[in-house]
Amino acid sequence: MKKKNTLPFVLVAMLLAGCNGGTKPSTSNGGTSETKEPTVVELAHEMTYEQLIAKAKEEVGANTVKVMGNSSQLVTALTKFTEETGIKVENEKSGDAALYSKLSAAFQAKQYVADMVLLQDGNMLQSTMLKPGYLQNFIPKEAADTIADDDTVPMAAVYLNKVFMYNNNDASDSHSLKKYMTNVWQVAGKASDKGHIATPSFKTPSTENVNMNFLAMLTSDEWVAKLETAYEAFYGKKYTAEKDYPNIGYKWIAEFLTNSQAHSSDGTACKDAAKGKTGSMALVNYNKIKELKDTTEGDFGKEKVQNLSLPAIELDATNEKVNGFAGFCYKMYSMVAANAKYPYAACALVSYITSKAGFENAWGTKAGYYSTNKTTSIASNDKELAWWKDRLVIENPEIVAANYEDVSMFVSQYEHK
Amino acid sequence: MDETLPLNENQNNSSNNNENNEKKSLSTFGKILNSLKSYFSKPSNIILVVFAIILAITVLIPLVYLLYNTVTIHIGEERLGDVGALTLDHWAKIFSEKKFNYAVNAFYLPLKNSVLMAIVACIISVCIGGGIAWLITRSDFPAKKFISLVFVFPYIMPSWSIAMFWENFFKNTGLEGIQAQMGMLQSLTGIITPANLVYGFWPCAICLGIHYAPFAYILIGGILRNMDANLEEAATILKASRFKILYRITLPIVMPALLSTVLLVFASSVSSYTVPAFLGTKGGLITLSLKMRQLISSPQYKGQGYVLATILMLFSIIILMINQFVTNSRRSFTTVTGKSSQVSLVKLGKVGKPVITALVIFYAAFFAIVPLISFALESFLEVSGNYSTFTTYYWTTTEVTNTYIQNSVGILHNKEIWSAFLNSLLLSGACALIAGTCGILIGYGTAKRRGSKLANFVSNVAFLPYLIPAMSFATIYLIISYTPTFGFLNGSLLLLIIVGSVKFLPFASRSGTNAMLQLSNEIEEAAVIVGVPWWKRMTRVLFPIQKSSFISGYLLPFVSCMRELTLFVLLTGSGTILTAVLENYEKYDCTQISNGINLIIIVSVLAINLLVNKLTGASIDKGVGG
Amino acid sequence: MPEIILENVTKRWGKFVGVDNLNMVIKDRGFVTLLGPSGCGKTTTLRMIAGLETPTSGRIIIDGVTVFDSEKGINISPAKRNVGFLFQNYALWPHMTVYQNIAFGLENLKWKKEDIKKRVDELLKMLKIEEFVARYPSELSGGQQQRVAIARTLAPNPKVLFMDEPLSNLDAKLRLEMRTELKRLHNETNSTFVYVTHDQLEAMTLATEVCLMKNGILQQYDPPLTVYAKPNNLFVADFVGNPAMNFIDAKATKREDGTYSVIFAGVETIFTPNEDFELPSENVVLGVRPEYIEIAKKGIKAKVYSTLPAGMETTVKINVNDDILTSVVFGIIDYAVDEKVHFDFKGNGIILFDKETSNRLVDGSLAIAKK
Repeated sequence: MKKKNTLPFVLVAMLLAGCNGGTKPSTSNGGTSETKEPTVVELAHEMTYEQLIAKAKEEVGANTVKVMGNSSQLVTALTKFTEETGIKVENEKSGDAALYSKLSAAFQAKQYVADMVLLQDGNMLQSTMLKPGYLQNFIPKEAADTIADDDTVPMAAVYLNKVFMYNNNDASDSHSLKKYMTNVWQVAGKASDKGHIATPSFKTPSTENVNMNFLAMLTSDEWVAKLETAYEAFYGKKYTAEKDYPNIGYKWIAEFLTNSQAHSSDGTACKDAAKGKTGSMALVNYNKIKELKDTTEGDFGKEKVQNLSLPAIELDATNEKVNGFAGFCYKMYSMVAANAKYPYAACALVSYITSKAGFENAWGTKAGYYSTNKTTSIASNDKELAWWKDRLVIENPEIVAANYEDVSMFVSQYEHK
Repeated sequence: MDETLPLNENQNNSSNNNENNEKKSLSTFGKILNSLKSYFSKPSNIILVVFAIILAITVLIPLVYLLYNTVTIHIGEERLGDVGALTLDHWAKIFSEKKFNYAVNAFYLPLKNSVLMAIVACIISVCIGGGIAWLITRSDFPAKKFISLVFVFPYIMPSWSIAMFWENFFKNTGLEGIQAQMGMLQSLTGIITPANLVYGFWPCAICLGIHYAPFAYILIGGILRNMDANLEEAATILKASRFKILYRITLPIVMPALLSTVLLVFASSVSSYTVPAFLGTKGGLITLSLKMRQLISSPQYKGQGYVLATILMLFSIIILMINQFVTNSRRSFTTVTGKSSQVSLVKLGKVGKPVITALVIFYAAFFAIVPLISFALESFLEVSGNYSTFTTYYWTTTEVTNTYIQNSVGILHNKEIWSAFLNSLLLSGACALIAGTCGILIGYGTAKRRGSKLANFVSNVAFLPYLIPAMSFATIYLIISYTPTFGFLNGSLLLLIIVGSVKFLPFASRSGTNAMLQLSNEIEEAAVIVGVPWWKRMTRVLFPIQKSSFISGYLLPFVSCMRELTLFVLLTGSGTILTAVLENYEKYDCTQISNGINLIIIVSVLAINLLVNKLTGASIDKGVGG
Repeated sequence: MPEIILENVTKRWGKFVGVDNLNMVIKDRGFVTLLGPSGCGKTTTLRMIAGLETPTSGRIIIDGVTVFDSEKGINISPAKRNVGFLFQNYALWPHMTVYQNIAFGLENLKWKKEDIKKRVDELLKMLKIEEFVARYPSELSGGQQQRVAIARTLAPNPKVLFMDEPLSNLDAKLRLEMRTELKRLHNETNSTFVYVTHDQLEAMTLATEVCLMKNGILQQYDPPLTVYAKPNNLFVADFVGNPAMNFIDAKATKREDGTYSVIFAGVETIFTPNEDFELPSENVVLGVRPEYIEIAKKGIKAKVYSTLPAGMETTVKINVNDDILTSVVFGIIDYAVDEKVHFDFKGNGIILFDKETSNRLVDGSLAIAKK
């Protein structure tokens, strides 16, 4: 925490109030250790999993390591971990928002609250946890071979994805709506556009942070370029800057939100799409669809669920992709608390969760959950993470955190109908 | 003995002398001491002072903290300066930011939506609740018992369950996109409801109005029950028309209750999250409460979120002040409590009676019984809405019903559900006990010292917790629990009990005050004369007399605690209380089990209400009105 | 002119009978008091006439108009019965000033503003409450509130005025004052007053006719002095008069000369009836008003039980063979306790009641039999 320099700042703030003044560059994350002795995460990085477990056992003894996370599957993984290593672990499960509130309150009060955490929402993670240095990034030694570099900072354990899907009104594979969605501008744009898809359903970013993060990613250079390419392919002309939109990402957001309708639960939206009108479109968690296809019987059982088509997968048959993107990915990050009581154990847990065994014990059987660990096997009928990464917008905490300010302000224009 | 006795006397003498000397030398100090002594010899003064201090700590600190958060820079807002420094940027931006038309979209429009929605909800609940209260207390309406029991159901049910019922009933294939689904109304009659009556502003306002109508019924009914019918009869004899009596006599007299209703309904509706999140967003309605939660849970705009929370609260405080002004003016309404021996009931007429009865019963059935039954049924249906898939599987199975949730076995075998249920009962019971008892004490203090500044302070501050949005209220207690001094509270049931008790104190203090105001001073004085100590007067004289309205004062906090989530979820793990377990099952779309849990909550509240009613004659609907 | 007729009016709540088959004619410009112990049905009767309560059966006619008839299904609303009603608790509207309270009824009659003001001022003056015109009811004392309530009731000049124990909340002195005022008001306003009270003195002093009720049944409906002198039964005799009438259990037998031998407490007396009557059985109750017992030099022997001098008169309780009798003597006399005295009966207002039915048989005079 930074020191307060109250009085002068009040005066400055009062003078500058309303003119967007008083902005100071803030110190960025992680600049804490320069000439100091190596931290635990650095030391642990040099250890093998076995060495780490040994060190953790020594450190924890008969005590209990504390973990906080919002995923139900985490408990399964932790139970297995205790079985295998004998290290006792206690998990406190909360919703995402509650989790961050608890962590910030505790960390700001310099209180110990957990050793390891499993969090989603890159923006929150970056802005409220990594920037102030409350959490440390630990990269297991084994990760060098098994985990892609861009997933190691911050250390992501699990990917989840939300993909476009639509009702094809046909139980057989040869439905009439083949290649219904080939370009992401079909769900934006105007009703007069050729192939325009009206009212795609999307959980409103006001109530779902990861959806807002996805929109924030679209304004990054990478996605601006991809959207421009898709734009050109769709409209047959190059995108020319418009004064309402800082870049083409904003344009897509504006048009998509204007075109879309909101739903309150991805699960229900998925069922509704399966039962609904031909061609109705939704952007929902892939695991909801898979869940529906795997388990539901009866009314919208097997046959009806076949009504759902995923452009991403559908186009793969002809080696095509949705021009732009077919949805987005967000991640669960596994982190070590800076004030952990048992930092080695926390590192061991990160290591375990990002390992093949750790992931498969918890999420292995479920479609729509992907380990960052390349060696894990995936659920039947699902695609590999790398395949998805190639087709979806990937959450990057730093980019999201940088763009969030403007994007969330921008989005508020299009929430009202 | 013989030796020690004189010694004692000496000591006594000398100490007496000392006292005398002190009195002489420190006469002013003595005076103050004596006046303090006599001030505190009255229990009502002690109570008021103690509660003034407790409330200042439990209510004003969160309040000040909330305000402080609107002018400070949080982690994630480093663009504004150093974390922890003061800034007016949050206020300035939310009020006047022009970029992307932000102030309009993030503040003024949601504000307009919220305020209009709350006003419509108030009108609906006052009209329906007040109307039913009038029918039950003043007319020859039949089926009074049935209606007064059933009419409070919508309040016992979580507000989103009414919203969910609304959606299931009115949704239709005329809607766009995936919203085009066959609903009950369409499948029964073929009627296609226009989109703006399925989602958006009107459904939100109507559902909230229906949810809070029992408030109006309880508050206005309480006053009507106690209001001297002679006041209306006198006007009848003086040839005032029925409408004029309502407008000139009844309404002004029930105005305090009306304003209390408006206050409670407005404060609740304006900060309601679940209903607009469920029905509103689907129709493109963004309210201030949605925006507030979004901003508070986004690091970059946390401060602005707190500003919205403050503004939400300010609206309610303005109504509280109007309420205060009306009830404290010269036009004292205390005569309202005069007992009227014979109340003649207004005849509804040959045509009116069956029509009104049918309408009311239809309303009660539609919004109270049908949603309840649909919950019950849904927990037995494999496929939602398809009654051929009836199964007891989700209640009785020992298999895991949902692979995402550990041990998600059938409800009857589900240890997590039942232990959370016990926790919820325990928590609600404890909160109800504390809030109820404090409510009685505050009622006693304010009734005895009516009109004094201290009494006004206590009774007003006791109302504030209800106006502070649950989320910010909980956040503040969360932060307090991480300070070293209060670290022992962290994660403990005690913290939940404190927060719940304080938050729902207004219900209890209101019913306590009303009940105490109805007791004449003589009743207590008769006991004072014969030297009955204060606590005995309370427990043996005052409490038994107003037993039913006091116990009702315990019931409302109980009900509210049982179905509260937002307030507690921050302060506890997700498996601790039943509503948190419910949320988890909902998150993973286990509709059967979540409907079952919902049913457990509603049924247990009803059962406890019924049990208390049978044992003591108290019931929720006798609560706040006294 | 307003004459009120009640025919077979009955009010039942479930099995409980509030008023049982009441028949009564209230004469124009009469001042009728409904008298009886609490719960006797008097307030219910009043509220039924006013239309605030619906009778179970019967007929009510006010001023020749049938306002209620259970057979014909007529039930005219209180607003259309042209009556005034003064409530026991005044029922002043707490949110209106004194002026607004009084003016309310006139507004409903669509009076002009200046007329209303004139009438209100007149009433304020009449009831001496001008200075409170801008106050709210909660700022007035009980007596002031009552006068405001009267003013409000009188404002539209009702031809029939109903009052439900209007003085019961006042202190003794104020009550006396208000009684005088009410009697004057009755003369001034030329209206018919129906007045409910449980205070027999109030009933006696105010009314032109008293209607005495018990358990919903009319006991006697007569001018006050008739009720006093010729009570229909023991209940009426006991309820009216202060100190209460002496009741003495006795055995009566007819004598040859048309007089009756009445024996009580070992004393034989001779009763001379004022008119002929049939003696149903020998068990009778002698009803003797205290003023008809005279402490004398001669007569029946008795001991003084206690003496209660009140200045103008003295109440002497005497013990006759362990029966306590009450006598009222004009002036101040003071007897020692247990002092031996003699007493005698005087006047011809001594009443004989049938012990079994408790109805009045006859009145007459009583003399000690000569031995």
